[in-house]
Amino acid sequence: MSALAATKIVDLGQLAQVVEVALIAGIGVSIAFSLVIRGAVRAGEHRRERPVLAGAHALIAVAGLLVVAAAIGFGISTMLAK
Amino acid sequence: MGSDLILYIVVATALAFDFTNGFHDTANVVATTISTRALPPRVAVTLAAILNFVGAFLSLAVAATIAKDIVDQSLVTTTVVFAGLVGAIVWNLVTWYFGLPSSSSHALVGGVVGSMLAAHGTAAVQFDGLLGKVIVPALIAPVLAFAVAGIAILVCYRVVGRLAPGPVNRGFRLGQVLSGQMLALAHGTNDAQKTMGVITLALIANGNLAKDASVPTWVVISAATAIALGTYIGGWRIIKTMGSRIIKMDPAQGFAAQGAGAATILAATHFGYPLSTTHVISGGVMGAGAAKRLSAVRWGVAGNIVVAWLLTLPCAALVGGVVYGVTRVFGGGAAGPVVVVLAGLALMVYVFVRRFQRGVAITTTAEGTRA
Repeated sequence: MSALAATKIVDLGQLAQVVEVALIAGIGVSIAFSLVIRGAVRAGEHRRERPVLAGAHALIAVAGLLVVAAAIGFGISTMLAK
Repeated sequence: MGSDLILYIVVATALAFDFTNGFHDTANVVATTISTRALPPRVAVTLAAILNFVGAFLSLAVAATIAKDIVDQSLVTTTVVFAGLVGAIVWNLVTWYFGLPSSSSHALVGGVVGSMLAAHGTAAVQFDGLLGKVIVPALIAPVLAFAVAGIAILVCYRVVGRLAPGPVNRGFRLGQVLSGQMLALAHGTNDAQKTMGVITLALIANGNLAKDASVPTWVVISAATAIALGTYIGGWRIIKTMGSRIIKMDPAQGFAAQGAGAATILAATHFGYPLSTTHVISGGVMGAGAAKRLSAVRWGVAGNIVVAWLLTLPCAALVGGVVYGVTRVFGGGAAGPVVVVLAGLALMVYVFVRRFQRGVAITTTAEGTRA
C-alpha cells in the first residue's frame, strides 16, 4: 500500500486533533494542578509572617483550581455535545 | 424463533463480555490510585464502577464505529457476532488468568473480524476502517499517553520541586482521586460503547433495527450496568501487574499517568476511535516512570504486555473463526451457539474456581505494605 493510499484511509486531521487535545489537556491540567499544590503550600508557609505574599500564593492556587475545573467541565460538555 | 434465540444469546454474551471488560480493564484504571495509596482499593474500585456507569452515557461515537466501520453490515449474522464475542471473551480470560493486561477492545474487534473472515472471507471485512479507525489509533495512543505523561511529570516536578515532599504527595494524592475518576469516566465512555456497538450490530443483523438506526436506550443502560458490575467485582490480579510490577510510582507520577490517559481516551472517544484503556494507561504509566528514571520501569514486564498487545488481534480473530466453525458444525440454528455457551460456562467456572483458590493478589501490593 502506498503512503498516499494510507493517508486517504487514515484521517490524519482527526488524529492530529486527538494528539493536540491530549497534549494540551494532559499537560495543561498537570501544570494547573501543580500550581494549586505549590500555591497552597506556599500560602500556608507565609500565612503568619507575610500575609500579602500568602494571599498571592492562595490566589495562584485558586486560579489553578479554576483552570482544572474548567478543563474538566469543557471536556465533558464537548463529549455530551456530539 | 431460532434467530430470536440466537439474538438473546448474543445479547447475553455481549453483556458477559462487557462484564469481563470491566473485570479485566478497569483494574488498569484504579491500579495507580491504589499503588500510591491515594484511595483504599475497595473505595477506588467502587468509585470507578460508578464513573464507568456514568461514562457509558456520554457518547455514542465509538459504538457507531464498531457497528458500521469495521465489517460489512449487510453480511453480518447473529452467529457471526456471537462467535466474535466468544473469541474476545476467551482471549480476555486467558490474559486475565496469566495477569497480562492486554486489550479487551482489540480482542472484541479481532474476534468479530475473525468470525467474519471465517463466514464470508476477506470481502466482508472493511480493512480501511480496521486500519484507519483501530490499528493506527492503537499504535498512536500508547505513544501519545507515554509522551503526555512524560512531559507532564517533568513539568510537575519542576513546579513543585523545592517544596517539602509531605504536602506535595498529599496534594497529588488528592489530585489522583480526581484524575483516577476522570480515567474511569473515559474508560466507561469508550469501552461500554464497544458492547453497545456489537449489540446494535446483532439487532440490525436480526432485522430488529434499521441499518441507520441509533443505539437503543435499553442497550446503553444494560451495557453501562454490565461494565460497572464487572468493574466492581474487580480484576485484582491485573491491578497487581499495572500498579507495582511495571513501575513503583509516587503520587505525582500516578496523577500524570492518569491525567495523560484520561486526556488521550476522551479525545479519541470524541472522534469515535475504539481505543484500549489498557494500552493507554500502560503508556502513561511507563511515560511517567521513564521521564524520572529509565531504569525505574520494569521493561521485562512492559515487554510481556507488548507481546500480549501484538497477539490480541490475531489470537482473538483465530478463536472467533474457530468458534464460528464449531457453531456451523451444528447447523445454522441456535444449537451451535447453545453448545458453545454451555461449554464456555463450564470452562469459566473451572477457571474462576482455580483463580480464587490462589487468593487475592492486591493484598500483597497496596494493603499488605501499609503496615
